[in-house]
Amino acid sequence: MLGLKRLLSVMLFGIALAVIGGLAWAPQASADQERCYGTVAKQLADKEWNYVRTTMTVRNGAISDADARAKRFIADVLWAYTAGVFTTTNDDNQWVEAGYTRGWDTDVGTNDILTLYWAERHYLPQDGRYVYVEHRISSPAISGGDTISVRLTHLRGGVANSVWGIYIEGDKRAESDDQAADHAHLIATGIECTASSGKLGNSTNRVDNKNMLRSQDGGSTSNGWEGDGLLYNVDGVHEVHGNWKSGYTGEWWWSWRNW
Amino acid sequence: MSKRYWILLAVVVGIAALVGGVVVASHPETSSAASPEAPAWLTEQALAAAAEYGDSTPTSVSWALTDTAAAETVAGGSVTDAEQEAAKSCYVAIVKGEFTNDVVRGGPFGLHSLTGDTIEFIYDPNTHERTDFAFFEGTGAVDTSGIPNLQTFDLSGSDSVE
Repeated sequence: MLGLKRLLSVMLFGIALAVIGGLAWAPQASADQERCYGTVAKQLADKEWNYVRTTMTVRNGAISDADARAKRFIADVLWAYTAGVFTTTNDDNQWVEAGYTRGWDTDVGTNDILTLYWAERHYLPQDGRYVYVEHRISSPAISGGDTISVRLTHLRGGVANSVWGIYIEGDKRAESDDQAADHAHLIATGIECTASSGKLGNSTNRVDNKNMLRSQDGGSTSNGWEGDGLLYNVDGVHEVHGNWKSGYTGEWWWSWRNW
Repeated sequence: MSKRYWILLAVVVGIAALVGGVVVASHPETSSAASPEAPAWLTEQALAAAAEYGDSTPTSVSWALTDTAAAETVAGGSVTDAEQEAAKSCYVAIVKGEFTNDVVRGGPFGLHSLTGDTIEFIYDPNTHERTDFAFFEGTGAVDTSGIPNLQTFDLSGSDSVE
């Protein structure tokens, strides 16, 4: 009888351990709004910024299947804002962006998709509202270690109807129309990340966007950012730091997270 | 009721049925049997995507087999350079409902969560992969006149031409 009680006690203890262990090992729910940035940016009110270019090196490091299934991503991006100011709450922001991303959502499978892309937010006069659009650039296919030239250029038009060109490796790949202005209110380049497994991560996996250039209005290219960005998270908790070497005064780096 | 009344009623109903049949026969596009059906994968993916953006019971799904130049007119006429990527065949699905987009690749300032009533998806007809995505913020009309033969997938099970 005593043996049976002891056996039952051991079994109950084992069950309790299993429950506690199971709870401890259960996947932790992540916040929907996880998002961090590590960028270098420049904002001006003048009309010089009608051309911006950078070269970016595609970094290795896939995001996890769990991140891909949850539509999380990591992207290395060049932005040109045609409207809006440096704030997280401006609903009037309009921009065009291009770069590469891991975690492109294809609706097919859950693989970590690495691809070039471009995107835009602009006002649709015919519908009277804003639209945000993402476009995949399927060719050329890219892989870790590739260096890509990305350029955004005002092509034609003015206030509320300007058209911007998106160039990859010197070739125009798309046009974004109905943009707010013929110049960029600000430009920025760097990382945007929502993936909890995003490899902002370490000294070998960093932003490496260089030779960021802009042109004088109607003139030739001048003034470069010879940046060597180092953006990384600390202890896997998504703390973003930046360190840029500069050949041009006035720019600043920016990191931000909203979780 | 007199017998004459019932005879008159039968004649009126008969004439109405005859006229109705003629009208339907002269407008075959209103018949679901005359419309091509949306590919099963397209509606499945569009409905699944709608659910992922917060509405598992969208009010409507429109679709067409068209080309990328026509499909992109809906989001404001952003066109791919003809020399680099000529207009290619694609499927487009336009879903209406109540959506939230928390996964947008926002600007460097972190565009806050978007809400809207329309999403456009563009798919490669061969791989079935989504290539483009447009999220229409707020509520209101969306001009889809640039897409010929856009058809509404009746969520109860039949198609009709818009």
